Amino acid sequence: MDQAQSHVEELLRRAAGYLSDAGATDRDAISQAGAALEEAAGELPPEIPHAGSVLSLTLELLQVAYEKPDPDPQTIDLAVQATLSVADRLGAEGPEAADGAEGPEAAEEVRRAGVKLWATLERDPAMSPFEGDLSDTSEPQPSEPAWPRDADGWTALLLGIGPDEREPLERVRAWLAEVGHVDAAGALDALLEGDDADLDAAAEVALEALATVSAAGSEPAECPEQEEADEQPTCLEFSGDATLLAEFVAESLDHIQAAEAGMLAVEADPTDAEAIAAVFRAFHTIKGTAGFLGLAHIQELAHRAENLLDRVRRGEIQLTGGCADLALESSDLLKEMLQELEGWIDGPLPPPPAQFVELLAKLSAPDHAVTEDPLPADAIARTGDILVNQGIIDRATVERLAAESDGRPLGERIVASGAASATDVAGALRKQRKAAQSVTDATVRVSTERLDALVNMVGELVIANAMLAQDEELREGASQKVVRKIDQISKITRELQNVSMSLRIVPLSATFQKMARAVRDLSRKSGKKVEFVTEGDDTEIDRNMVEAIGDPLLHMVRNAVDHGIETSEERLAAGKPEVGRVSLRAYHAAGSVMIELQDDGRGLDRDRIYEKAVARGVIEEGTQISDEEVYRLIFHAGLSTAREVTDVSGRGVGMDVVRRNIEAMRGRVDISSTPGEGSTFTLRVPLTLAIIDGMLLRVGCEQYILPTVSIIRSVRPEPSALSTIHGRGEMLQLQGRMIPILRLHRLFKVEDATNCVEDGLLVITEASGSSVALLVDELLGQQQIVIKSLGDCLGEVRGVSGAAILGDGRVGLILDPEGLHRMALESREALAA
Amino acid sequence: MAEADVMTETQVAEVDLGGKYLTFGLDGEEYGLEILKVREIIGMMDITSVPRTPEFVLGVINLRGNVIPVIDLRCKFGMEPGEQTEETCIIVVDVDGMEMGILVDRVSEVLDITGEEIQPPPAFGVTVNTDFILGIGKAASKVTILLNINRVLTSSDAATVAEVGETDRHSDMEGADQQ
Repeated sequence: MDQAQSHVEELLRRAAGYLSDAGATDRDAISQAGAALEEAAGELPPEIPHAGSVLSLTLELLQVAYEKPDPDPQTIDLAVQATLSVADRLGAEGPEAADGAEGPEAAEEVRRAGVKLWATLERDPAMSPFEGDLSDTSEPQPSEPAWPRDADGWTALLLGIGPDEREPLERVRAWLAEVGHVDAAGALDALLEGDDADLDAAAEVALEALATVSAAGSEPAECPEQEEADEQPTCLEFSGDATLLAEFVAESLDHIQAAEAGMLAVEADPTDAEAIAAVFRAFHTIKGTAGFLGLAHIQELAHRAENLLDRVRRGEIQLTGGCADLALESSDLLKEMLQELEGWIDGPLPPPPAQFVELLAKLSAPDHAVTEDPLPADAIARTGDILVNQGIIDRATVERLAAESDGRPLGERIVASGAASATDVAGALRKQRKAAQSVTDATVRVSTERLDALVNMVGELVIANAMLAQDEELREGASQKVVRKIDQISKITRELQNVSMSLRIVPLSATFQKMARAVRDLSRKSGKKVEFVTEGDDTEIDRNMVEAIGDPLLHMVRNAVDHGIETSEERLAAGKPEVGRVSLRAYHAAGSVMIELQDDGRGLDRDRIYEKAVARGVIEEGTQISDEEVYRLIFHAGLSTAREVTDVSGRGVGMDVVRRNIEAMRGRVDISSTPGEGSTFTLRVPLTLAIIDGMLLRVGCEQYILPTVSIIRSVRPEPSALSTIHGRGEMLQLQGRMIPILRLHRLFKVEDATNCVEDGLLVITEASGSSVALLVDELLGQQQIVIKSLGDCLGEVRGVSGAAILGDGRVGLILDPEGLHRMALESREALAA
Repeated sequence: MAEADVMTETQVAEVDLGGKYLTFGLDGEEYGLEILKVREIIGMMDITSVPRTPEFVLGVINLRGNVIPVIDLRCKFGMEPGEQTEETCIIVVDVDGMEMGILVDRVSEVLDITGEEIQPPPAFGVTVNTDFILGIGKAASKVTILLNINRVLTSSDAATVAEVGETDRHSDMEGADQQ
C-alpha cells in the first residue's frame, strides 16, 4: 500500500514539476502533467477525502488552459497548488490513518484547493462537494473505491491477482471481517502473518470463504455499501442546474463517440495502446463529471467499465471477444442513459434502463462473461454483409452508407448513422477477422523434423558456398564482377544460416525455472534453508539441447542441495550464513554454452571418494591421482558419497547418468571444489546438437574429425617420453602421468600412414574420465561441422560417432573418443592376456 | 522380419515379374534391377572408407548432403575386383526407405520385360547366389539376370553387420568383465 501511495505521490509531484518548470506557455508540459495526473488519479487510494475530486478538477482546469491560445499563468499556479496539496496530503498520512480522523492541515489544504478550483471553473457553489464536513468520510466519495464490494467481485479480483500480491488478500480479509465472516478472516489473518506468508494458501482460503458468502446469497446487513450496489437502482433527484446537465450530456456523448471509435480500432488491432488509452479516458471523464453532478447510476456504470478498461490498459486482459462486447454494451447503455437525460428539465431523474443491473454484474466479473461467437462457416464476408445476414440492418442502408464514403471505415459510419449499435458492428468485425485468420495466420506450427531438414540443407548450402567461394580456378579466372556476385551469395548464405539456426533456439529460462522449483521443494523436504540464484537465464540454446540438458541438470541441482548444502546447524557451527546458496549461471563462450552450478556447501570430500573408489575396486589402493581426477570419480557408476540414501539422491546413479548424457551431446562436465566452501560444476555443451567444433586430422590418406571438446592437447613426443610396458602396450609419459597410445592407422587399417610415433603427432583425448593418446599424421585445422548419421544400413560403427561433409564435398568420419578409449582398453587387455 | 518381407515379395513376383528393369553390366554379364527401386544414377565420386565394416562396404559418399553407404557389387558377388573406367558408376537404390549406392561397371538401358519372358532362376550355372535372383529375363535376344536387390542389400548385409556388431559386443562384455 505504502508503495502504491508513494508512487502516486511521486506522479503528482512530477506533474507539478512539469507545470511550474515550464510555465504557462509550454503546451507539451501541460499535456505531460495531465498524463501524470491522470495516472495518479487512476491509482489514488480511495479513502482520501476530496483528493479524487481535486485531481479531476485540476485535470479539467488543465484541459481548459491547454485549449486556450494563451493560458493564464494563474490557472497553472492554481493547478500546481492543487496537485501539490493532494501530494502533501498523501505524504502526511497513510490512507489507513485518513478514515474518520479529524482533518489535519494537509486535508484542509486539499479542501481549499478544491474550492478554489471549483470557483475558477465557474461551477455552481451550491453543488460543490467541498463544503461538507471533512470528518464525514463515510459518504460515497466522488472517486470510487477500487476494491470490490461483493463476493463475486472479490472472487473475480482474487482469481486475477499475481502470486506475490499481498494487498488484495489483506483487503479481502478486512472485507470478510466487516461482513461478519470472522472465522474466515481469522484464518486469513493467521496465514498472512509474517513476511514469508503462504499467499497461495491464503488466496485459496479466501476464495473458499467467498464461495460460501456468495452461496449464502444474502449479504450480511452490516455492509452498507453492499446494499446500495445490490438493490434495484432508485430514481434520484437531481438538484443541479439544467444547463450544466445539458452541457454534460453533450460532452459525454462526444466522449462516447470517441470511445466507440477507439473500441472498433482495438477490435482491429488489440495491441493498439493509444486507442485503449483513448477509450479509458472517455469513460474516466464521464465518471468524474457524473460524480460531480450526482448522477450516481451513470457514474457507477462508467466506473465499472473503467475498471475493466484499466485491466485492459495494464495488459491483464485483451479487449477482444466477450470483453470487448462488455465494453461496447457499457458504452451503448451509457449513451442510452445520456440520451434520456437530454430532454430533462426538472423533477426526478429517469430511472436507469432494465439491463443496467445485469450489465453491472457482468462488469464486476468480466472473466465469466466472455463468450465466443461460433465461427462462421463461409469465407470472409464483408462487415455489411454480416450485419445484414444477422438481420440487424437492411441491405439498402448498408449500400447507401457504403456509397457515401467519407474516409472513415464502413463500421464506424454504420455506428454514426445509428443503423446498428457499436456492439453489433464490433461483433461483425470480429467474425470477419476470425474468418480472415483461418486463411492467413501470423505463426505456423512446423514439425521439428522439417525444421531439422531445413537446418541441414542450409548447412549444406554453407559448405557448397564455401566450396564455390574458395574455388581457385574460379577466383583466378573470374572477373571482378563474378567475385562480387559470389561474395553476395556468401553474405546471403551466412544470413540464411543465422536465421535457420535461430528458428530452433530458445532461452534457458524455462529450464532454470524448473530448477528453482526443484530447489524449493527439496529444501522444504530436507529442512535446509537454501537460496537459489539464477543468472543469464536468457541465454539461448537449441531447443533439442534444452530437452537434453534438463535431466542431467536436475540431477546436479538435487545433488547440490541434498549433498552439498549442510543443515542449518552445521552451517552455523561452521561460521557460515544459515541460508545456503545455490547459484545457476549460464553464458555463451566460444561457440558453446556454459552452465555453472555453484553451491556454498561442504564441498566434495576427497578422502571419502577415494576410500569408496578403492572399496569398490574402481582404483587401486595407493594410486596417486590429482584432486581433479578424484572428483571425476564421482561420475563413476556406483559411487555415491551420501551417507544415507534419501528418496532424491544417494543411489550413485545420478552423476553417472549426468556424465553420459552430457558426453552424448558432445559436452563435458568439470568439477572444482574446496572443502568447506562448496563446489562448482561447469557444464560445457555445444549450442546445438547438429553442429560441433571439430578438429580435422589426417591419418595416411584418410581424414577424420575429432570433437574439439574432447581434445586436451597435442604433443610431438620426445623419444624419451615413450615406453612400452609389458602387458599394457605403448605408453606416453606426460607430466608424470602414463597415457596409453592408440595407433589410429592400425585400428582402422589405414595404409601409408606414419608408423613411427616420433614422426607423427599424439593427440591427447579425454572421455569417461580417462585419457588416451591418439597417433595421427597431422592436424589439419579446426572447423564447425554439421553432424550426419552414417545411416541405418551400416549400423553402429565402433570408434565412429557419425559423419560430416568436409569443405571439399567429401565425407569425413567423426571419431568417437569414448568408443576409441574402450577399444584401446580391449587391445591392452588382449595384449595382457 | 526381413525374411518374411522378401518371401511375400517373391510370391507376388511369381505372379507377375513383368515390368521395367534397369540393366547394368558387371564382370561381363548383364544384370537387371526393378526400375522402381532406382533413385538415380551418379558418376563415380570420392568414397570415404569406413573402418571395421565388411569388405564389400566401400564406404560412404555425400549425396547432396546425405551420407549414404556404397556397396561394391563385384565384391559382394565374390567376383574379381574390376578396374575403374569412365563407365563405372553408382546406382542409388531405395531399399525399404534407406538409400544405398551400388557400384557397377556400367549402366546399359531400361528394358521392358514381360512376365512370359522371365524364367525362374536356375539351380546352377550363374556366378551369383540364387537367393539374390528374381529370375532370368530373356528379352531382345539378351539374357539378363534380374536381381532381388532388397535381399542383396539388406538381409545379408544386415546379418553381416549385425554379426560384426555381435562379436564386438561380446568382446565388450568380456572387456567389462575383466575390468
